[in-house]
Amino acid sequence: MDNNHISSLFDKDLNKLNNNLLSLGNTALDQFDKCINNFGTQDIDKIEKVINSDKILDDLDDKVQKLGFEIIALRAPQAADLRRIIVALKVATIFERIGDYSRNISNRTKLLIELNYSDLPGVNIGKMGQKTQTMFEDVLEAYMNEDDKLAVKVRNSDFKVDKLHTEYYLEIISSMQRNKNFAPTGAHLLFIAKNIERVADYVTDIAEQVYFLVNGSVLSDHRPKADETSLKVPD
Amino acid sequence: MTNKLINPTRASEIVKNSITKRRAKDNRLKLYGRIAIGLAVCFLIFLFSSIFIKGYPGFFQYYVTLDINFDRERIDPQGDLSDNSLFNGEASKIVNEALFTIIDPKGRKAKKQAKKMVSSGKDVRLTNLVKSNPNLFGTISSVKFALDDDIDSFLRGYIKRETPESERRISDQIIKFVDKLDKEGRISYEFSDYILNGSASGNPEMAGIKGAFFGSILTLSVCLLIAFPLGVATAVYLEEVAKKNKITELIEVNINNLAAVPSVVFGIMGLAIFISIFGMPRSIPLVGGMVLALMTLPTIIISSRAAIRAVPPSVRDAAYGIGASKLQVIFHHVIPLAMPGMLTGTIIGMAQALGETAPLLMIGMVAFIVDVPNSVMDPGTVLPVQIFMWADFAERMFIQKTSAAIIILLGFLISMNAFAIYLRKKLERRW
Amino acid sequence: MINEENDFRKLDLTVGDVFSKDARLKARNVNVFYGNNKAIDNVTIDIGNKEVISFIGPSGCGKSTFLRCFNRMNDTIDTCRVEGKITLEDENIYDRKIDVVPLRARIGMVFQKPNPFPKSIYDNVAYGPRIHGLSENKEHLDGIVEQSLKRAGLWEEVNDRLLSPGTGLSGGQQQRLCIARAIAVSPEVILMDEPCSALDPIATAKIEELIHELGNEYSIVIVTHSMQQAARVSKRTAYFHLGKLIEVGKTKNIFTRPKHSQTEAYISGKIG
Repeated sequence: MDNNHISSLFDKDLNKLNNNLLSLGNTALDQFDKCINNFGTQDIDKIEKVINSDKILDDLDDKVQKLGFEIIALRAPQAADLRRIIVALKVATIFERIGDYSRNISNRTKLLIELNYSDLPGVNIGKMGQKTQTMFEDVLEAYMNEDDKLAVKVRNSDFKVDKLHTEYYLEIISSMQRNKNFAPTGAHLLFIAKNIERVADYVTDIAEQVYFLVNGSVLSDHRPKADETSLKVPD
Repeated sequence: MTNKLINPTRASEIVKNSITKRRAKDNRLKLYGRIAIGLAVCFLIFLFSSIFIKGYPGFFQYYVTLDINFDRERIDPQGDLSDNSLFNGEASKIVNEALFTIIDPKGRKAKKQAKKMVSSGKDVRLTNLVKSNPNLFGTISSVKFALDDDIDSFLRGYIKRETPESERRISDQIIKFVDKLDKEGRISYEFSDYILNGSASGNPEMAGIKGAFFGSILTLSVCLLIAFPLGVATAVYLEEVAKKNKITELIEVNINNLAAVPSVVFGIMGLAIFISIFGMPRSIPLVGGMVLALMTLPTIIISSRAAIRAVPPSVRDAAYGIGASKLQVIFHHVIPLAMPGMLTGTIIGMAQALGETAPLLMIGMVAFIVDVPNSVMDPGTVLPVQIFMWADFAERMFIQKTSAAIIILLGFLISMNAFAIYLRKKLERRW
Repeated sequence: MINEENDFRKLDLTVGDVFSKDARLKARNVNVFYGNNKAIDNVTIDIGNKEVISFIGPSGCGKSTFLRCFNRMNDTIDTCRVEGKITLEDENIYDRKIDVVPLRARIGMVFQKPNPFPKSIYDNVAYGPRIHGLSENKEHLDGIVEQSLKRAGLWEEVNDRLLSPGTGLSGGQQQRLCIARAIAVSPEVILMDEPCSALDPIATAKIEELIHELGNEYSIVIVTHSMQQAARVSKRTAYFHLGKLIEVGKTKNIFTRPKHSQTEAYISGKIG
């Protein structure tokens, strides 16, 4: 934070809000990292831990919501302060939802392990996950440093994840068409890929919020999208 | 609802058109004001210049320079410079001898007239001179003596040569003597040392205001010492301590009325109570001061109350809020802040008292007091009464001295007021 | 044995937490009359120890009048009559035996318009200790003055001109001087009657920060016509309307979910 407010209590509350939010964000990132790794290592215990830790994110989100609400009621924040609070409230919700997706991915990974899934060439979940991870790390950094340039960069990287998603989607559909027994596995894989793509979308939402926080205006042009899964019908 | 308001464009047009009339009215008012002030200034200048022109000559009188033989054995026969010895000496005779050597009067009648030429205070002058400067004994030195008031008037031109001798106050013989003295350059027009140093006297050339001046100072001091504390305390009591009810309202009405009562009534009251009932002596500054104090009290009380009321309640609130008691609020805060106003009122009251004649006449301060009063119990008189008495006497010279005394009185008043303004400026605090 | 609290709640006059566990001042059934007009109607409230509580409400609701009851400043107004009990540490301050002068040293007051005495800065702060005999010698008095000015956040700005007149300071500084003056007599409670209404926003913010710090040492009751100020500065808020105490509660709650509909209406700007 830059200049201190004359009211030290106000600063104290804002810092508390910020710290809780960053804590929420880092935990969500950590959960996501773990669930991607666990997909590769197939470690059941670690997967269970991720699923159970989701509650932490819910609690942190509640705290941020309550705190933000009180600050608005008691302090009537203006200008950058107001943007910060509003953005914090929105972003907290997004982190919480990302956490939900991490939990879902972990659940589906468990099911894949039961189905003895090993590997499907042409579908590299890890690669997609890592690209999303990088975006997530960057957006957290952009938020902490209020760096709108980095935020724009993150926003513009979303299409890469979309491309991968389209690729893997086609590949999985083909595999399922070739081998009917593969269908259940394929279905889970499809959901996992979709979830990762949704996380990348949410991270992009956060990037747009960071831009608004810094500049006070909304990114005007449409974000580049490359997800054509809803448009393509495989033959 | 129809719109009763005029539309803005029309409104500004109307206002613009009315400007000339309004400006003209303003200017006319300004002009009237300026004329009024101009007239007032003219009158003021006229008043002051006439006083000054009449009174200025009163500060001067004619003196004759004589060569006095300071023969010790004749002036101070006992040789000890005591009052007894000097009284028995021949101071007057020596002065007359000095005069005769110059004018050389021939015949008993001429000599008798010549003896009256120099002011009858000549012996006192001579003896005072040797008392303060015994070195003069054994010398022949020049001494200036005041001339008799008739000669003084003649020299000023009020008694004319052309008037027939039977209608003149001085004879042809005297005129010849005067011309002789004048030819020898012995007559001079000097600043009078009698007007300020002399006291009441039947002889106008010796008359001065010293006694009356000190009498005024003593009387006013008594007045101030009584009226100021009493007036301030009363005002503080009425404003701060007394409950606001019918009784205090009645008191306020009475005080306001007293301020308008003619001052002579206070004199009658002083006569009846202080002199008749208490048996105090007449004509002393103490009684005069007490009467004047009664007269000044209403003025002081009224202005002090106004000054106290003008102290903003926020100061009192602050003082009460910090835990000051009522007396502490009054003495630490209200009175210091009200002091400039109280002082102004007091000095206005004092200036009024200084010029009062009627009440002091009632208590008898008309006595012909020759000595300067030393204490408040010594009989004395005050400046305005002195002026009043002098105005009564017939001699021409008294007219000039009266005007001179008026100037002194005015000077006294102006310096009192100037002092008041200075004090007020010094004590004024911003709140 | 009927518990006072429960008894009171049955009457259901004021909504919210009227009582405090660690109360400094207790007002019970206080009525205030100006002549025949009732300005305060049966108000009961506790002022807690070392807490900042604000009184809010539309103009004419009686909050200033009620504030002045605590240090008996209403005594200076002839037509004002106070009924009921107000206790400071279990002593009824309206008891005939109580001397109002030391009471006002224990309960200090800061007024709406800054009103430093027309004396030097030093004398302004030293006046209270002097008249109450709180200092033993000049050195001690100097110490009290320095400490009070430091606590009021004014020392840095004026320590080089302690003998210059207090009225020569800016509005915000004058108000802080008045606060220093009140602190100098070591009060337990400080009453503030709209202390910032004559000040600009920056001076106001500085005073509010000062109030926040002082709240760790003293109980502070602040009357304000600005709801936002009450929201910023106090832990507890009391809402008055037409002489009645409508609701009391944690400031957080009053401004996010007030219990009484009148409070809600006032806070959201629906009534004057």
